[in-house]
Amino acid sequence: MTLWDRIKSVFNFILRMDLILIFLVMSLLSFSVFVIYHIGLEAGGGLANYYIKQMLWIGVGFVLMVGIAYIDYEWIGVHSWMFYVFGLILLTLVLIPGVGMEINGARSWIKFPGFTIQPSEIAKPCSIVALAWYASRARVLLNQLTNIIPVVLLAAGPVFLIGMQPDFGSALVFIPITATVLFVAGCKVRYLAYPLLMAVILTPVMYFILKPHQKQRIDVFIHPVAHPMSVEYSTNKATDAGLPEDKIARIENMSNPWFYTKTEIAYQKKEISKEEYTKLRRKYVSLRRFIANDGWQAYQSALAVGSGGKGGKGWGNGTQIKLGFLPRSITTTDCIFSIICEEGGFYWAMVVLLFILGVILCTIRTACVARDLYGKVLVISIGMLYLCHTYINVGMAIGIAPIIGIPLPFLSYGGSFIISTMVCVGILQSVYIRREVTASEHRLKDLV
Amino acid sequence: MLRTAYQTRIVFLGIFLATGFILLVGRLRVVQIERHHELNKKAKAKYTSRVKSVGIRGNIYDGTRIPSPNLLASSKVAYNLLAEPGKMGSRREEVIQKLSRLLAETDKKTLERRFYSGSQEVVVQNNVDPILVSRIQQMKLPGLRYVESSVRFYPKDSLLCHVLGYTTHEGSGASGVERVYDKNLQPQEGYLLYERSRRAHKVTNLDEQKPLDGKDIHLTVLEPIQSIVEDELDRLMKEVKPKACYAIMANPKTGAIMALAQRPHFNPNDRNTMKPQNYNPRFLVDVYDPGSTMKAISLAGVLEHNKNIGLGTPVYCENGMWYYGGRPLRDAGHNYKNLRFWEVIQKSSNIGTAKLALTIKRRQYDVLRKFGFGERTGINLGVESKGILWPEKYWSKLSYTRLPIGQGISVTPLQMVQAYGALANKGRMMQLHLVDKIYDPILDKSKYTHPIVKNMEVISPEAAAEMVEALKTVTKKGGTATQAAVPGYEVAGKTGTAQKVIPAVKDANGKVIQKAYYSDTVHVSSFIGFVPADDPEFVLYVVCDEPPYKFRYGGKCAAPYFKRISEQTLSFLNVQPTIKDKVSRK
Repeated sequence: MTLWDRIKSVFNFILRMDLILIFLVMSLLSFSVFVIYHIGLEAGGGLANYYIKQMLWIGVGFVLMVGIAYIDYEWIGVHSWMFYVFGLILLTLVLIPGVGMEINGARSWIKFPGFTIQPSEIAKPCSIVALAWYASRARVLLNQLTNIIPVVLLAAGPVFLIGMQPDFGSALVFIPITATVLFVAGCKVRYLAYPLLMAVILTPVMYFILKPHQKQRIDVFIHPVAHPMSVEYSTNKATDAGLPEDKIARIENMSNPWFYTKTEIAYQKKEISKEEYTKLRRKYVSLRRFIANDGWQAYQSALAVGSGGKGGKGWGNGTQIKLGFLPRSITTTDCIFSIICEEGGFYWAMVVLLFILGVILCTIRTACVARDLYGKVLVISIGMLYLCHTYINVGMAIGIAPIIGIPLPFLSYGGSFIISTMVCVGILQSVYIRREVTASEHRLKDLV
Repeated sequence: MLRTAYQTRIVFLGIFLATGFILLVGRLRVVQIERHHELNKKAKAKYTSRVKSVGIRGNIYDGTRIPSPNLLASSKVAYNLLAEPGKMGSRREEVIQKLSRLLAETDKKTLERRFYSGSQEVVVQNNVDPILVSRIQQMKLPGLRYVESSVRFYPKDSLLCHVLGYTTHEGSGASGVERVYDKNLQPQEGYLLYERSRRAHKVTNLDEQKPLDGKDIHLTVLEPIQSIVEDELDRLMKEVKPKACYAIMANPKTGAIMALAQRPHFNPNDRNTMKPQNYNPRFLVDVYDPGSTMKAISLAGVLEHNKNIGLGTPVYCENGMWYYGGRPLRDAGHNYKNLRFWEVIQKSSNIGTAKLALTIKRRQYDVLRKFGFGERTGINLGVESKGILWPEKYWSKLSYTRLPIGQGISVTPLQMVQAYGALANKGRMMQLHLVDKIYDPILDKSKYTHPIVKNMEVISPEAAAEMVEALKTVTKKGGTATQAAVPGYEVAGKTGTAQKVIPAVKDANGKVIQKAYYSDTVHVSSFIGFVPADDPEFVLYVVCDEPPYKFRYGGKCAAPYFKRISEQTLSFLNVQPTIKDKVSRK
């Protein structure tokens, strides 16, 4: 093989990659560095160097992406059990007290000299590969319940181990991914619909096994900061019932206006006894106390998003991080979308969302042109992973998802997370490069 | 072979994706664009703080110019001591014990009640002295907080207390100059608007308005003279033991009040001494029948309006008993026959005065009004009484003989001082005033109160001069107030011994059981005069309210103190003696 041939083959390899995806991903990653740089400027301290670290991780991630793109995903599938076991080992290691690092009550990090890794993030691509490989085997006919159980058990391993940390947010992401793998691989719809139904029924039961701080998160989600409409409705009802002025005035200071109004009206009409009333009164939570205790992050991030408005406050002018209203440790990870909204405004937030949407559309396109079912399932489940992360992270910022600490793909800071995301991009590229050659491409080849 | 219709499933996923994104974008729009104003306002309220800052209330000085004004009222730094019982933990009892031992005004029981009230923050004591605060700080007690405040402080304690007044616990004026000039004294509030961090640390200043200190008030009162007057009043209270007494000294040429004192008094630094009988400014609100001191005024009117009457005009005094209008008028135990005009003044003859005043019967009301009776003096020191002077149409036949001798007319001491000031100042009446200048420390400018002529000619200068000549004889041999004579100076003055009116007694139905009458035992004794008589430095009025019976005469009760005050004041003011000692002693 001559040198020219070598150059030609490399050139061909690059040309066959999904260049749109690379463009989208690289734009998002550079934007992430830009945002993290500004956060570092405002918050100072340890956060000031985060953008350099982020660039380093992006570099490492890019090399990994190209490397994985070069490998045939069939090979990855064949050896997927190795990756799966590797992920499980990491997840087990992190649970050992000496190895795992405990932050905020969750043992989620393994410390190495110079950097820390988050096994739950690394386990995600490892498990996805294994799930997709197993689910798409020809002998596994998914219209039989007996064949579904091994898939579910495969997923249950990492979910259980991540749940032990405990990091329910990350564990939760596995559920839609597994469901997607099964769904795309051709499982009967009822096998997915029944568990969904069951989950809905079992949610209240699950609520009682949660830890107090997790319960709070759910509470915050169910009773978000008093909505103006709720206040208005309650005020109208209270006025109709003829409550005294001072009691009506207190409605807007309550975290749950309707509960307050309901109780007061019932007591007014003497529907409840005085003892019951005193008992219920103790459950009143004023907005102030609620915000100070449970709803701090949700409220502050809503304020950040809302105060940004259309045009934003300008990069580096955000008040919520600079003045420390958003907790420092999560400004670059969970809260990054709030900060984009605050400083860049609605338009930049839309650009970010559209780019992420573009990435997900790229995965669907790759799924359409993939050469076999394994590739399709693999690619779709990666798309689902991005989708879940985006929904939950953006939802947290705007108050439609509970605060469960899920990073935003391509934008949030974090070594393990960036590498895991880039590995997934590498798999996407690998599938795309080895796509089924379409008729138009054949014609193009002939022409060349 | 590919199993099942995976394309449909991918389309299904695509729909799921699209719905999710539309939901996200829609919600984002609601939060970020529709609720922008509401949330932005809330965020702003969270990260900005507004702190008020208060300047220092203006000082009050006396009228001394050289070497420098004396400070009469000032503000000093104090601290409000606050406590957060929740932060004390197990040391709460210890804190209560130590604080109650140190703080004199707060006892253990009150502290316990406050500390166990369940409040997050309670006041231990306001306006604690900085020295005490530093002692408390050294003990390193948990959960205590100190807020700087200021407390009004009167360096001379009770000196001039009725004029200065006092402030409320919030620092605004409650009475006296403190209240009347509150707007001038009050500092302007400043504020600081800044960006705050979550831990309430200041980050950047957004807007600032510096507080402006209050203006200083310089009174016309001279502190040394005031001290002399107060010392003498204390002596009077000790020796004579009247119910109350007051002395007013004013400069007749400018109308400036030089001293103003009253007993009983209070200490504005000590709230325990503040009882209504102590802090009521009686010289402003008390009205009483002035008695003989009124004679000089009414007879000056006679000299002015009846050109036939001079100082030598004789009057027949009816042997001490004269019936007019069906009622007898006596000369208080004297049986005078013929008295000349000046002797009527000197001996203070009721009959003589009444008879002389009857010669200008219809002009009497005008004279009294011209001398400022029946209207407020306008000294601007809070609520002031205007005395009682009925319009002439309500006068009876008797009134024309009784008002000139100071019965049936009620005056305030300030009105009396003002009227005598007019006599002393050759018939020109000056507006009484207390404030010399208001100094603005920000502009470094003073606003002066210039002497205002209230009435250019109350009586003609000739009539006034004649009256002064007559008044000079009062302190000389044969006069009613020889004890008021000041060696070396001509004193023009007049005694006053007025019977007090005992108010009518009514029963529950409002029916009068006993009519109001002039008491024979309860008096208001006074002496008013000016020194030196021909070129007066001051008018001084000393009043004793309800002295003991043996001291009922003004010449006995008030005159000696007039003399003592005048003597010291004249020597303080370095006034040249007008006559040689030997002559005055004769």
